[in-house]
Amino acid sequence: MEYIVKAEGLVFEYQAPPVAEDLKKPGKKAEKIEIEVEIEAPPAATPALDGVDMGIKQGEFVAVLGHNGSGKSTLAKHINCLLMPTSGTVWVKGIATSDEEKIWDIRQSVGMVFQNPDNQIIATIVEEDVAFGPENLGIEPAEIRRRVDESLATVGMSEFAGHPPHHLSGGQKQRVAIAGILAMRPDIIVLDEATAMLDPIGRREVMKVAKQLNEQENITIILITHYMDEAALADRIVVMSEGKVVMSGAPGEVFTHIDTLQGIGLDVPQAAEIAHKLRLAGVALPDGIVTGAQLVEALWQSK
Amino acid sequence: MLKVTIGQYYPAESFIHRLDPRMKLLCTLLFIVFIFFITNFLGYIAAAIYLALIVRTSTVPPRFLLRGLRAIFFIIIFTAVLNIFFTAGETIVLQLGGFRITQEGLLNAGRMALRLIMLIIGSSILTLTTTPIQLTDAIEYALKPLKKIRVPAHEIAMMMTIALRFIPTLMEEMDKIMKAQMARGADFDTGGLIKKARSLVPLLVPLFISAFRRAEDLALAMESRCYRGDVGRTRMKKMKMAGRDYAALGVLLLLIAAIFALNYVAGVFGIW
Repeated sequence: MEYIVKAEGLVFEYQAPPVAEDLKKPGKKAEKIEIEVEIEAPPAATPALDGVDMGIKQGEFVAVLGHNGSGKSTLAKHINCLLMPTSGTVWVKGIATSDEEKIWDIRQSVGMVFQNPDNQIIATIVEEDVAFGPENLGIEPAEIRRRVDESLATVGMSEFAGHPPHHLSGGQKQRVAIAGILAMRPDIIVLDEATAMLDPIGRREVMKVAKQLNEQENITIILITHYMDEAALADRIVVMSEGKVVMSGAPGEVFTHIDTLQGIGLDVPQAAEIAHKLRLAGVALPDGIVTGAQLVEALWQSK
Repeated sequence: MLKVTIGQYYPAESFIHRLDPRMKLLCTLLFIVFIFFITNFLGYIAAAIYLALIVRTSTVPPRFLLRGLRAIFFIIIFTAVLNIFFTAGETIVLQLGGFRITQEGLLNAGRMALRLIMLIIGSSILTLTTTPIQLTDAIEYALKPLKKIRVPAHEIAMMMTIALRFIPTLMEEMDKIMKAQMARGADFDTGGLIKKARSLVPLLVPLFISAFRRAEDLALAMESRCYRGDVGRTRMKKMKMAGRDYAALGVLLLLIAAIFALNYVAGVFGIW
Protein backbone atom coordinates (compact mmCIF):
# COMPACT_ATOMS: atom_id res chain seq x y z
CA MET A 1 0.00 0.00 0.00
CA GLU A 2 1.63 3.14 -1.14
CA TYR A 3 -0.68 5.72 0.35
CA ILE A 4 -1.94 5.61 3.92
CA VAL A 5 -4.72 8.07 3.09
CA LYS A 6 -6.06 8.32 -0.40
CA ALA A 7 -9.02 10.20 -1.86
CA GLU A 8 -10.37 9.73 -5.34
CA GLY A 9 -13.05 11.87 -6.93
CA LEU A 10 -14.27 12.84 -3.47
CA VAL A 11 -17.45 14.91 -3.58
CA PHE A 12 -19.40 15.98 -0.55
CA GLU A 13 -22.56 18.03 -0.35
CA TYR A 14 -23.95 19.15 2.95
CA GLN A 15 -27.48 17.85 3.15
CA ALA A 16 -27.96 17.27 6.84
CA PRO A 17 -25.89 18.32 9.80
CA PRO A 18 -23.14 15.76 10.33
CA VAL A 19 -24.44 14.63 13.70
CA ALA A 20 -27.76 13.68 12.18
CA GLU A 21 -26.12 10.86 10.20
CA ASP A 22 -26.46 8.47 13.08
CA LEU A 23 -30.07 9.34 13.73
CA LYS A 24 -31.02 8.21 10.26
CA LYS A 25 -30.69 4.60 11.28
CA PRO A 26 -34.03 2.90 11.80
CA GLY A 27 -35.49 2.92 15.26
CA LYS A 28 -34.46 6.47 16.02
CA LYS A 29 -36.59 9.51 15.62
CA ALA A 30 -36.32 10.58 12.01
CA GLU A 31 -38.78 13.45 11.88
CA LYS A 32 -36.42 15.77 13.73
CA ILE A 33 -33.83 15.53 10.97
CA GLU A 34 -36.18 16.62 8.26
CA ILE A 35 -36.83 19.87 10.02
CA GLU A 36 -33.13 20.53 10.28
CA VAL A 37 -32.51 19.62 6.66
CA GLU A 38 -34.72 22.41 5.50
CA ILE A 39 -32.82 24.93 7.54
CA GLU A 40 -29.33 23.68 6.79
CA ALA A 41 -29.43 22.93 3.08
CA PRO A 42 -29.01 25.95 0.84
CA PRO A 43 -31.46 26.04 -2.10
CA ALA A 44 -28.86 25.17 -4.72
CA ALA A 45 -26.47 22.87 -2.87
CA THR A 46 -22.90 23.78 -3.67
CA PRO A 47 -20.64 20.87 -2.84
CA ALA A 48 -18.25 21.46 0.04
CA LEU A 49 -15.86 19.09 -1.70
CA ASP A 50 -15.88 18.97 -5.47
CA GLY A 51 -13.79 16.15 -6.83
CA VAL A 52 -10.80 15.92 -4.51
CA ASP A 53 -7.98 13.57 -5.48
CA MET A 54 -5.07 13.24 -3.13
CA GLY A 55 -2.72 10.74 -1.57
CA ILE A 56 -0.76 10.96 1.66
CA LYS A 57 2.12 8.64 2.43
CA GLN A 58 2.95 6.97 5.71
CA GLY A 59 5.07 9.28 7.86
CA GLU A 60 4.36 12.41 5.87
CA PHE A 61 3.65 15.79 7.46
CA VAL A 62 1.07 17.39 5.21
CA ALA A 63 -0.51 20.80 5.68
CA VAL A 64 -3.88 21.47 4.10
CA LEU A 65 -4.22 25.20 3.49
CA GLY A 66 -7.28 27.12 2.53
CA HIS A 67 -9.42 30.06 3.54
CA ASN A 68 -12.72 29.67 5.38
CA GLY A 69 -15.18 27.52 3.49
CA SER A 70 -12.57 26.01 1.19
CA GLY A 71 -13.57 22.52 2.29
CA LYS A 72 -10.42 21.70 4.25
CA SER A 73 -12.25 20.80 7.47
CA THR A 74 -14.83 18.80 5.55
CA LEU A 75 -11.99 16.84 3.99
CA ALA A 76 -10.52 16.19 7.44
CA LYS A 77 -13.81 14.80 8.73
CA HIS A 78 -13.91 12.32 5.86
CA ILE A 79 -10.64 10.75 6.91
CA ASN A 80 -12.15 9.85 10.27
CA CYS A 81 -15.54 8.62 8.94
CA LEU A 82 -17.31 11.49 10.65
CA LEU A 83 -18.63 12.37 7.21
CA MET A 84 -19.37 9.99 4.34
CA PRO A 85 -18.65 11.01 0.74
CA THR A 86 -21.61 11.87 -1.47
CA SER A 87 -19.62 10.27 -4.26
CA GLY A 88 -16.04 9.13 -4.66
CA THR A 89 -14.06 7.20 -2.09
CA VAL A 90 -11.61 7.80 0.73
CA TRP A 91 -9.27 4.98 1.71
CA VAL A 92 -7.46 4.84 5.02
CA LYS A 93 -4.81 2.13 5.22
CA GLY A 94 -6.46 0.53 2.22
CA ILE A 95 -9.91 0.42 3.83
CA ALA A 96 -12.69 2.47 2.25
CA THR A 97 -14.32 4.72 4.85
CA SER A 98 -17.73 3.68 3.55
CA ASP A 99 -17.12 0.18 4.92
CA GLU A 100 -19.33 0.38 7.98
CA GLU A 101 -17.87 -2.68 9.63
CA LYS A 102 -14.40 -1.19 9.70
CA ILE A 103 -15.45 2.25 10.92
CA TRP A 104 -14.04 1.72 14.44
CA ASP A 105 -10.73 0.42 13.07
CA ILE A 106 -10.42 3.56 11.00
CA ARG A 107 -11.31 5.83 13.88
CA GLN A 108 -8.71 4.10 16.02
CA SER A 109 -6.02 4.67 13.37
CA VAL A 110 -7.01 8.27 12.69
CA GLY A 111 -7.00 10.62 15.65
CA MET A 112 -8.65 14.02 15.35
CA VAL A 113 -7.82 17.15 17.28
CA PHE A 114 -10.51 19.78 16.87
CA GLN A 115 -10.49 23.55 16.97
CA ASN A 116 -12.08 24.35 20.30
CA PRO A 117 -9.94 22.98 23.13
CA ASP A 118 -12.84 23.14 25.60
CA ASN A 119 -15.29 21.15 23.55
CA GLN A 120 -13.32 17.96 23.12
CA ILE A 121 -12.31 17.15 26.67
CA ILE A 122 -14.84 14.75 28.12
CA ALA A 123 -13.57 13.97 31.59
CA THR A 124 -13.05 16.19 34.60
CA ILE A 125 -9.49 14.99 35.25
CA VAL A 126 -6.72 15.12 32.66
CA GLU A 127 -5.62 11.49 32.93
CA GLU A 128 -9.18 10.21 32.83
CA ASP A 129 -9.74 12.13 29.64
CA VAL A 130 -6.64 10.59 28.10
CA ALA A 131 -8.00 7.18 29.13
CA PHE A 132 -11.34 7.79 27.39
CA GLY A 133 -10.21 6.58 23.94
CA PRO A 134 -8.53 3.33 25.04
CA GLU A 135 -11.47 2.64 27.37
CA ASN A 136 -13.78 2.82 24.38
CA LEU A 137 -11.54 0.36 22.56
CA GLY A 138 -11.92 -2.12 25.41
CA ILE A 139 -8.27 -2.31 26.38
CA GLU A 140 -7.09 -3.93 29.63
CA PRO A 141 -6.97 -1.50 32.59
CA ALA A 142 -3.25 -2.06 33.29
CA GLU A 143 -2.41 -1.41 29.63
CA ILE A 144 -4.57 1.74 29.62
CA ARG A 145 -2.68 3.01 32.66
CA ARG A 146 0.63 2.42 30.87
CA ARG A 147 -0.52 4.13 27.69
CA VAL A 148 -1.94 7.11 29.57
CA ASP A 149 1.30 7.72 31.45
CA GLU A 150 3.33 7.28 28.29
CA SER A 151 1.16 9.58 26.18
CA LEU A 152 1.12 12.32 28.80
CA ALA A 153 4.90 12.11 29.02
CA THR A 154 5.23 12.34 25.24
CA VAL A 155 3.30 15.61 25.09
CA GLY A 156 4.99 16.90 28.25
CA MET A 157 1.86 17.01 30.40
CA SER A 158 2.69 14.37 33.03
CA GLU A 159 2.71 16.83 35.89
CA PHE A 160 -0.89 17.81 35.11
CA ALA A 161 -2.24 14.23 35.13
CA GLY A 162 -4.43 14.85 38.17
CA HIS A 163 -5.58 18.36 37.30
CA PRO A 164 -9.04 19.42 36.16
CA PRO A 165 -8.84 20.51 32.50
CA HIS A 166 -10.47 23.91 32.99
CA HIS A 167 -7.39 25.10 34.86
CA LEU A 168 -5.15 24.49 31.85
CA SER A 169 -4.22 26.94 29.11
CA GLY A 170 -5.51 26.43 25.57
CA GLY A 171 -2.21 25.00 24.36
CA GLN A 172 -2.08 22.60 27.29
CA LYS A 173 -5.64 21.46 26.62
CA GLN A 174 -4.78 20.71 23.00
CA ARG A 175 -1.74 18.74 24.15
CA VAL A 176 -4.02 16.73 26.43
CA ALA A 177 -6.29 16.12 23.44
CA ILE A 178 -3.27 14.89 21.46
CA ALA A 179 -2.29 12.62 24.37
CA GLY A 180 -5.83 11.23 24.38
CA ILE A 181 -5.35 10.28 20.75
CA LEU A 182 -1.84 8.90 21.21
CA ALA A 183 -3.19 6.54 23.85
CA MET A 184 -5.26 4.94 21.08
CA ARG A 185 -2.05 4.19 19.14
CA PRO A 186 -3.02 5.91 15.89
CA ASP A 187 -1.11 5.94 12.59
CA ILE A 188 -2.46 9.30 11.55
CA ILE A 189 -3.28 12.45 13.49
CA VAL A 190 -5.46 15.08 11.90
CA LEU A 191 -5.16 18.51 13.48
CA ASP A 192 -8.35 20.21 12.33
CA GLU A 193 -7.49 23.88 12.87
CA ALA A 194 -6.29 22.79 16.28
CA THR A 195 -4.26 25.96 16.73
CA ALA A 196 -6.85 28.46 15.51
CA MET A 197 -8.08 29.39 19.00
CA LEU A 198 -4.69 29.44 20.71
CA ASP A 199 -2.31 32.23 21.59
CA PRO A 200 1.14 32.24 19.93
CA ILE A 201 2.73 30.31 22.81
CA GLY A 202 0.03 27.65 22.71
CA ARG A 203 0.40 27.37 18.95
CA ARG A 204 4.11 26.86 19.23
CA GLU A 205 3.62 24.15 21.89
CA VAL A 206 1.14 22.23 19.76
CA MET A 207 3.24 22.52 16.61
CA LYS A 208 6.31 21.33 18.48
CA VAL A 209 4.48 18.24 19.69
CA ALA A 210 3.10 17.54 16.21
CA LYS A 211 6.54 17.84 14.65
CA GLN A 212 8.08 15.64 17.33
CA LEU A 213 5.44 12.92 16.87
CA ASN A 214 6.02 12.99 13.15
CA GLU A 215 9.79 12.74 13.43
CA GLN A 216 10.18 10.39 16.39
CA GLU A 217 7.11 8.16 16.26
CA ASN A 218 6.71 8.28 12.47
CA ILE A 219 3.05 9.27 12.82
CA THR A 220 1.49 10.76 9.73
CA ILE A 221 0.34 14.30 10.49
CA ILE A 222 -2.35 16.09 8.53
CA LEU A 223 -2.44 19.70 9.60
CA ILE A 224 -5.51 21.68 8.59
CA THR A 225 -4.72 25.34 9.00
CA HIS A 226 -4.87 28.80 7.57
CA TYR A 227 -1.65 29.96 9.20
CA MET A 228 1.13 30.14 6.62
CA ASP A 229 3.89 29.90 9.21
CA GLU A 230 2.56 26.57 10.41
CA ALA A 231 2.07 25.22 6.92
CA ALA A 232 5.68 26.19 6.17
CA LEU A 233 6.84 23.56 8.69
CA ALA A 234 5.20 20.73 6.72
CA ASP A 235 6.86 18.40 4.22
CA ARG A 236 4.15 19.12 1.74
CA ILE A 237 1.33 21.62 1.37
CA VAL A 238 -2.02 20.94 -0.25
CA VAL A 239 -3.84 24.14 -1.12
CA MET A 240 -7.61 24.00 -1.32
CA SER A 241 -10.16 26.43 -2.63
CA GLU A 242 -13.88 26.04 -3.33
CA GLY A 243 -13.76 22.34 -2.53
CA LYS A 244 -10.94 21.59 -4.96
CA VAL A 245 -7.24 20.94 -4.62
CA VAL A 246 -5.56 23.88 -6.30
CA MET A 247 -1.92 23.11 -5.67
CA SER A 248 0.24 20.55 -3.96
CA GLY A 249 3.95 20.52 -3.31
CA ALA A 250 6.80 21.34 -0.97
CA PRO A 251 6.37 24.64 0.93
CA GLY A 252 9.21 26.32 -0.96
CA GLU A 253 7.59 25.42 -4.24
CA VAL A 254 4.01 26.29 -3.29
CA PHE A 255 4.95 29.67 -1.89
CA THR A 256 6.52 30.77 -5.17
CA HIS A 257 3.04 30.91 -6.71
CA ILE A 258 2.26 34.10 -4.88
CA ASP A 259 -0.28 35.39 -7.38
CA THR A 260 -2.30 32.17 -7.39
CA LEU A 261 -2.33 32.05 -3.62
CA GLN A 262 -3.38 35.65 -3.25
CA GLY A 263 -6.03 35.06 -5.91
CA ILE A 264 -7.78 32.55 -3.63
CA GLY A 265 -7.49 34.76 -0.60
CA LEU A 266 -4.35 33.38 1.02
CA ASP A 267 -1.19 35.15 2.05
CA VAL A 268 2.30 33.80 1.71
CA PRO A 269 4.82 33.94 4.53
CA GLN A 270 6.55 37.28 4.55
CA ALA A 271 9.99 35.81 3.90
CA ALA A 272 8.73 33.97 0.83
CA GLU A 273 7.12 37.12 -0.51
CA ILE A 274 10.25 39.23 0.01
CA ALA A 275 12.38 36.53 -1.61
CA HIS A 276 10.02 36.44 -4.56
CA LYS A 277 10.14 40.21 -5.02
CA LEU A 278 13.92 40.27 -4.68
CA ARG A 279 14.16 37.62 -7.39
CA LEU A 280 11.97 39.70 -9.65
CA ALA A 281 14.24 42.66 -8.94
CA GLY A 282 17.19 40.62 -10.14
CA VAL A 283 18.75 39.39 -6.91
CA ALA A 284 19.92 35.83 -7.38
CA LEU A 285 18.32 33.77 -4.62
CA PRO A 286 17.82 30.01 -4.46
CA ASP A 287 14.33 28.53 -4.63
CA GLY A 288 12.43 27.27 -1.63
CA ILE A 289 12.87 30.16 0.81
CA VAL A 290 10.03 30.06 3.32
CA THR A 291 11.28 31.20 6.71
CA GLY A 292 13.03 34.36 7.80
CA ALA A 293 16.12 32.41 8.80
CA GLN A 294 16.41 30.85 5.34
CA LEU A 295 16.09 34.25 3.73
CA VAL A 296 18.79 35.78 5.91
CA GLU A 297 21.07 32.83 5.17
CA ALA A 298 20.47 33.12 1.43
CA LEU A 299 21.10 36.86 1.46
CA TRP A 300 24.37 36.37 3.33
CA GLN A 301 25.53 33.89 0.77
CA SER A 302 24.39 35.73 -2.36
CA LYS A 303 27.10 37.51 -4.34
CA MET B 1 -19.52 35.03 40.40
CA LEU B 2 -21.66 32.18 41.58
CA LYS B 3 -19.72 29.50 43.41
CA VAL B 4 -21.01 25.98 43.66
CA THR B 5 -19.23 23.58 45.97
CA ILE B 6 -21.26 20.54 45.06
CA GLY B 7 -19.48 18.78 42.25
CA GLN B 8 -16.20 20.54 42.95
CA TYR B 9 -13.44 18.11 43.68
CA TYR B 10 -10.75 19.03 46.19
CA PRO B 11 -7.58 17.21 45.10
CA ALA B 12 -5.69 15.53 47.95
CA GLU B 13 -4.41 12.10 48.93
CA SER B 14 -6.23 11.46 52.17
CA PHE B 15 -7.68 8.25 53.57
CA ILE B 16 -11.16 9.44 52.60
CA HIS B 17 -10.02 10.30 49.07
CA ARG B 18 -8.69 6.80 48.57
CA LEU B 19 -11.85 5.02 49.69
CA ASP B 20 -13.84 3.16 47.08
CA PRO B 21 -16.43 5.57 45.66
CA ARG B 22 -19.15 2.94 45.99
CA MET B 23 -18.42 2.62 49.70
CA LYS B 24 -18.40 6.38 50.09
CA LEU B 25 -21.72 6.63 48.31
CA LEU B 26 -23.21 3.90 50.48
CA CYS B 27 -21.86 5.46 53.67
CA THR B 28 -23.15 8.91 52.73
CA LEU B 29 -26.61 7.53 52.03
CA LEU B 30 -26.62 5.59 55.29
CA PHE B 31 -25.44 8.65 57.19
CA ILE B 32 -28.14 10.83 55.65
CA VAL B 33 -30.83 8.29 56.45
CA PHE B 34 -29.73 7.72 60.02
CA ILE B 35 -29.37 11.34 61.05
CA PHE B 36 -33.15 11.43 60.70
CA PHE B 37 -33.39 8.75 63.38
CA ILE B 38 -31.67 10.90 65.98
CA THR B 39 -34.12 12.01 68.65
CA ASN B 40 -31.94 13.94 71.11
CA PHE B 41 -28.99 16.25 71.31
CA LEU B 42 -26.63 13.52 72.53
CA GLY B 43 -27.14 11.82 69.19
CA TYR B 44 -26.40 15.06 67.37
CA ILE B 45 -23.19 15.45 69.34
CA ALA B 46 -22.18 11.93 68.34
CA ALA B 47 -22.96 12.62 64.69
CA ALA B 48 -21.12 15.95 64.85
CA ILE B 49 -18.03 14.26 66.31
CA TYR B 50 -18.19 11.67 63.56
CA LEU B 51 -18.47 14.37 60.87
CA ALA B 52 -15.64 16.38 62.42
CA LEU B 53 -13.46 13.27 62.35
CA ILE B 54 -14.30 12.67 58.69
CA VAL B 55 -13.57 16.28 57.77
CA ARG B 56 -10.25 16.08 59.60
CA THR B 57 -9.13 12.90 57.87
CA SER B 58 -10.26 14.20 54.50
CA THR B 59 -7.88 17.23 54.82
CA VAL B 60 -10.50 19.37 53.05
CA PRO B 61 -10.28 22.92 54.49
CA PRO B 62 -13.50 23.66 56.42
CA ARG B 63 -14.07 26.84 54.42
CA PHE B 64 -14.92 24.68 51.39
CA LEU B 65 -17.70 23.10 53.40
CA LEU B 66 -18.91 26.44 54.70
CA ARG B 67 -19.11 27.69 51.15
CA GLY B 68 -21.51 24.86 50.37
CA LEU B 69 -23.55 25.74 53.45
CA ARG B 70 -23.78 29.39 52.52
CA ALA B 71 -25.63 28.45 49.34
CA ILE B 72 -28.45 26.84 51.32
CA PHE B 73 -28.32 29.20 54.30
CA PHE B 74 -31.65 30.69 53.26
CA ILE B 75 -33.32 27.28 53.13
CA ILE B 76 -32.06 26.43 56.61
CA ILE B 77 -33.42 29.67 58.04
CA PHE B 78 -36.69 29.19 56.20
CA THR B 79 -37.31 25.66 57.49
CA ALA B 80 -36.28 26.73 60.98
CA VAL B 81 -38.75 29.61 60.99
CA LEU B 82 -41.53 27.41 59.63
CA ASN B 83 -40.84 24.89 62.36
CA ILE B 84 -40.81 27.52 65.09
CA PHE B 85 -44.21 28.88 64.16
CA PHE B 86 -46.04 25.80 63.01
CA THR B 87 -45.17 23.21 65.60
CA ALA B 88 -47.97 22.59 68.02
CA GLY B 89 -46.74 22.41 71.61
CA GLU B 90 -47.58 22.79 75.24
CA THR B 91 -44.80 24.84 76.80
CA ILE B 92 -45.17 28.40 75.56
CA VAL B 93 -41.97 30.41 75.53
CA LEU B 94 -43.19 33.58 73.89
CA GLN B 95 -46.61 34.85 72.86
CA LEU B 96 -46.77 37.32 69.97
CA GLY B 97 -50.37 38.18 69.22
CA GLY B 98 -51.79 35.15 67.38
CA PHE B 99 -48.41 33.47 67.12
CA ARG B 100 -46.86 31.62 69.92
CA ILE B 101 -43.45 30.13 70.11
CA THR B 102 -43.31 26.87 71.97
CA GLN B 103 -40.43 24.93 73.39
CA GLU B 104 -41.28 22.05 71.09
CA GLY B 105 -41.20 24.42 68.14
CA LEU B 106 -37.75 25.70 69.03
CA LEU B 107 -36.44 22.20 69.54
CA ASN B 108 -37.89 21.03 66.25
CA ALA B 109 -36.40 24.01 64.45
CA GLY B 110 -33.00 23.30 65.97
CA ARG B 111 -33.20 19.65 65.00
CA MET B 112 -34.22 20.41 61.45
CA ALA B 113 -31.44 22.97 61.04
CA LEU B 114 -28.86 20.56 62.45
CA ARG B 115 -30.05 17.78 60.18
CA LEU B 116 -29.88 19.97 57.12
CA ILE B 117 -26.41 21.23 58.01
CA MET B 118 -25.12 17.71 58.59
CA LEU B 119 -26.78 16.49 55.43
CA ILE B 120 -25.07 19.17 53.37
CA ILE B 121 -21.69 18.70 55.03
CA GLY B 122 -21.95 14.94 54.63
CA SER B 123 -22.77 15.08 50.95
CA SER B 124 -20.24 17.86 50.30
CA ILE B 125 -17.55 15.64 51.77
CA LEU B 126 -18.55 12.96 49.31
CA THR B 127 -18.31 15.27 46.30
CA LEU B 128 -15.20 17.05 47.55
CA THR B 129 -13.21 13.86 48.04
CA THR B 130 -14.48 11.92 45.05
CA THR B 131 -13.73 12.88 41.47
CA PRO B 132 -16.97 13.29 39.54
CA ILE B 133 -15.93 10.40 37.31
CA GLN B 134 -15.49 8.10 40.30
CA LEU B 135 -18.80 9.28 41.59
CA THR B 136 -20.61 8.60 38.36
CA ASP B 137 -18.89 5.22 38.19
CA ALA B 138 -20.28 4.46 41.62
CA ILE B 139 -23.75 5.62 40.59
CA GLU B 140 -23.51 3.56 37.42
CA TYR B 141 -22.63 0.56 39.55
CA ALA B 142 -25.51 1.24 41.92
CA LEU B 143 -27.92 1.54 38.98
CA LYS B 144 -26.65 -1.61 37.27
CA PRO B 145 -29.39 -3.90 38.63
CA LEU B 146 -31.91 -1.49 37.10
CA LYS B 147 -30.49 -2.12 33.63
CA LYS B 148 -32.72 -5.18 33.48
CA ILE B 149 -35.76 -2.94 33.50
CA ARG B 150 -34.13 -0.83 30.77
CA VAL B 151 -32.78 1.98 32.92
CA PRO B 152 -29.90 3.37 30.81
CA ALA B 153 -27.38 3.29 33.65
CA HIS B 154 -24.30 3.99 31.53
CA GLU B 155 -25.94 6.83 29.64
CA ILE B 156 -27.14 8.46 32.84
CA ALA B 157 -23.65 8.25 34.29
CA MET B 158 -22.09 9.67 31.13
CA MET B 159 -24.56 12.55 31.09
CA MET B 160 -23.74 13.39 34.68
CA THR B 161 -20.01 13.29 33.97
CA ILE B 162 -20.37 15.64 31.05
CA ALA B 163 -22.67 17.96 32.99
CA LEU B 164 -20.11 18.14 35.80
CA ARG B 165 -17.29 18.65 33.34
CA PHE B 166 -19.05 21.61 31.73
CA ILE B 167 -20.27 23.41 34.85
CA PRO B 168 -17.07 25.44 35.25
CA THR B 169 -16.81 26.04 31.50
CA LEU B 170 -20.35 27.36 31.25
CA MET B 171 -19.94 29.43 34.41
CA GLU B 172 -16.90 31.11 32.90
CA GLU B 173 -18.82 31.72 29.75
CA MET B 174 -21.76 33.21 31.62
CA ASP B 175 -19.36 35.50 33.43
CA LYS B 176 -17.95 36.63 30.09
CA ILE B 177 -21.38 37.26 28.56
CA MET B 178 -22.43 39.14 31.67
CA LYS B 179 -19.39 41.40 31.52
CA ALA B 180 -19.84 41.96 27.82
CA GLN B 181 -23.42 43.06 28.41
CA MET B 182 -22.52 45.16 31.43
CA ALA B 183 -19.95 46.93 29.29
CA ARG B 184 -22.80 47.87 26.98
CA GLY B 185 -24.91 49.19 29.84
CA ALA B 186 -26.88 46.14 30.96
CA ASP B 187 -27.92 46.26 34.59
CA PHE B 188 -28.06 43.04 36.57
CA ASP B 189 -27.94 44.41 40.09
CA THR B 190 -30.76 46.88 40.67
CA GLY B 191 -34.50 46.50 40.62
CA GLY B 192 -36.87 43.99 42.14
CA LEU B 193 -36.84 40.26 41.80
CA ILE B 194 -38.86 40.27 38.58
CA LYS B 195 -36.70 42.90 36.93
CA LYS B 196 -33.58 41.01 37.93
CA ALA B 197 -34.99 37.75 36.60
CA ARG B 198 -35.91 39.45 33.38
CA SER B 199 -32.43 40.87 32.92
CA LEU B 200 -31.15 37.30 32.93
CA VAL B 201 -33.03 36.40 29.74
CA PRO B 202 -30.57 38.08 27.35
CA LEU B 203 -27.89 36.20 29.25
CA LEU B 204 -29.45 32.78 28.96
CA VAL B 205 -30.15 32.93 25.24
CA PRO B 206 -26.51 33.20 24.13
CA LEU B 207 -25.53 30.73 26.82
CA PHE B 208 -28.00 28.15 25.51
CA ILE B 209 -26.92 28.63 21.92
CA SER B 210 -23.29 28.14 22.81
CA ALA B 211 -24.14 25.13 24.97
CA PHE B 212 -25.80 23.47 21.98
CA ARG B 213 -22.81 24.26 19.81
CA ARG B 214 -20.52 22.77 22.42
CA ALA B 215 -22.70 19.68 22.62
CA GLU B 216 -22.39 19.16 18.89
CA ASP B 217 -18.60 19.56 18.98
CA LEU B 218 -18.37 17.22 21.93
CA ALA B 219 -20.46 14.57 20.20
CA LEU B 220 -18.09 14.68 17.22
CA ALA B 221 -15.05 14.50 19.46
CA MET B 222 -16.47 11.53 21.35
CA GLU B 223 -17.38 9.70 18.18
CA SER B 224 -13.97 10.26 16.68
CA ARG B 225 -12.51 8.66 19.79
CA CYS B 226 -14.53 5.51 19.17
CA TYR B 227 -17.24 6.12 21.75
CA ARG B 228 -20.22 3.83 21.13
CA GLY B 229 -22.04 3.64 24.45
CA ASP B 230 -20.93 1.01 26.90
CA VAL B 231 -20.44 -1.66 24.23
CA GLY B 232 -17.14 -3.40 24.90
CA ARG B 233 -15.92 -0.59 27.13
CA THR B 234 -13.31 -1.09 29.84
CA ARG B 235 -12.20 1.30 32.57
CA MET B 236 -8.70 2.42 33.45
CA LYS B 237 -9.48 2.69 37.13
CA LYS B 238 -11.13 -0.48 38.28
CA MET B 239 -12.99 -0.07 41.51
CA LYS B 240 -11.81 -2.43 44.19
CA MET B 241 -12.99 -2.69 47.77
CA ALA B 242 -10.08 -2.83 50.18
CA GLY B 243 -9.72 -3.31 53.94
CA ARG B 244 -10.00 0.43 54.53
CA ASP B 245 -13.43 0.48 52.89
CA TYR B 246 -14.76 -2.07 55.35
CA ALA B 247 -13.07 -0.17 58.18
CA ALA B 248 -14.90 3.00 57.10
CA LEU B 249 -18.19 1.13 56.98
CA GLY B 250 -17.43 -0.26 60.43
CA VAL B 251 -16.93 3.21 61.88
CA LEU B 252 -20.22 4.34 60.39
CA LEU B 253 -22.01 1.28 61.81
CA LEU B 254 -20.56 2.20 65.20
CA LEU B 255 -22.05 5.65 64.85
CA ILE B 256 -25.43 4.19 63.91
CA ALA B 257 -25.28 1.88 66.93
CA ALA B 258 -24.35 4.86 69.10
CA ILE B 259 -27.30 6.83 67.74
CA PHE B 260 -29.73 4.09 68.74
CA ALA B 261 -28.08 3.55 72.11
CA LEU B 262 -28.23 7.27 72.84
CA ASN B 263 -31.86 7.39 71.68
CA TYR B 264 -32.61 4.67 74.24
CA VAL B 265 -30.67 6.38 77.01
CA ALA B 266 -32.32 9.71 76.25
CA GLY B 267 -35.72 8.01 76.27
CA VAL B 268 -35.09 6.55 79.70
CA PHE B 269 -33.79 9.75 81.26
CA GLY B 270 -36.10 12.09 79.36
CA ILE B 271 -33.29 14.06 77.71
CA TRP B 272 -34.32 16.14 74.69
